[in-house]
Amino acid sequence: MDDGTFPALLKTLSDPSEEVIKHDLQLIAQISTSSEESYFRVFMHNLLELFSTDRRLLETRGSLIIRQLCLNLNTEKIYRTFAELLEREEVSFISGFEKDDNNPFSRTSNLLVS
Amino acid sequence: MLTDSADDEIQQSTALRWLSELLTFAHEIMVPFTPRLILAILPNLAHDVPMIQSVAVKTNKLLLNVVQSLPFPPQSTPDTVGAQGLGADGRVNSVAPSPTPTADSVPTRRSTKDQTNPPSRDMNSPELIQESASGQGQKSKGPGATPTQKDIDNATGNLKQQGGSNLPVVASRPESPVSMRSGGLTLPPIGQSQQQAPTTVTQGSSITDKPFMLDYPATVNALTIQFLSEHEETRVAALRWLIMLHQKSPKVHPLNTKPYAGLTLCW
Repeated sequence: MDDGTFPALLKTLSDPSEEVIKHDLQLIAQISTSSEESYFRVFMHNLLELFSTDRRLLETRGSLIIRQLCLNLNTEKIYRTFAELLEREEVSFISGFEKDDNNPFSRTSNLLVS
Repeated sequence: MLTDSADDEIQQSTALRWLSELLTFAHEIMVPFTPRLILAILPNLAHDVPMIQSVAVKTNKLLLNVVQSLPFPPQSTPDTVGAQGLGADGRVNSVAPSPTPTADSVPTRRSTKDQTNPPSRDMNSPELIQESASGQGQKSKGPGATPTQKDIDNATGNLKQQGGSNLPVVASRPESPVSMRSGGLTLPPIGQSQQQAPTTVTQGSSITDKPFMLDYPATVNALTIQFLSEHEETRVAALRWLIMLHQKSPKVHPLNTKPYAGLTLCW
């Protein structure tokens, strides 16, 4: 994990092509499944950091990324991990994030409820 | 100029066709060359010329199937990967091992049978392969800019003639000679292997065991370089390859091997 896997895979999440992003997430999910729990948590942490630094990515691809992750991994685990990580995040990030009803978490949450 | 480019296209598609043919009937011999085959095939998946693009797609499928159907020993593979990756400075060594054993093993077998085929040219070619392979490896793991340019140039085909003479020469043109060489070099040992297999194994098991093995780190490196391609098809294909490789032997964690870390420079 410290060897450059994350920079490479996270960078690819910013790819202009949806197909590339989907395959990238499939690979990430696959590695997470076969790796230790810490891999998944560190990835999620890095994903949140990526979203917080690259708002445009969050707006344009956030929904796709979360949905694809939910397709490939345990949805509840993803949301729990996100919640735990967000709880610890700085207020500025959370406030901007949560106020937006269109953020990918709200939208996919609604989808889950419905 | 027009005829030159047309010739280039014919050469390139012919080379790819050769690769696809070799992959159908001599696939086990092609396996050690997988990293370099990927570098030759994947950039062409979105080639402007349909003739090249379609053959590249076909060859890619063939190579993928060949690698997918490889019987991977679940325990020995991680060991060898670890040994290659962690060896001396993993970057150079990790790429070198795959061509080295084949290049070494073939001439040794050859040299015992010099009478049949005086290999003045063949004896040189392994060295060339070795040099070009290690050269490519060093470049690809270094700053990363040159292989990227090279691959993209190769894929678009725009800079084939004008662009830096070194880069396309490595990436696109010599692939046909390389593939021909690999075929020409490695085909004879098939027939000989029945006769000489015991002797070669006893001579050096570490060398002769490896020829048909896939060099994981080098393959992953070749694939991750394709992430930088400007063509969506190439990037998707590279990810599909990595997904397949990971499914095949998740314990190896090709993405976690040391050589891959060298690619952080590229990103």
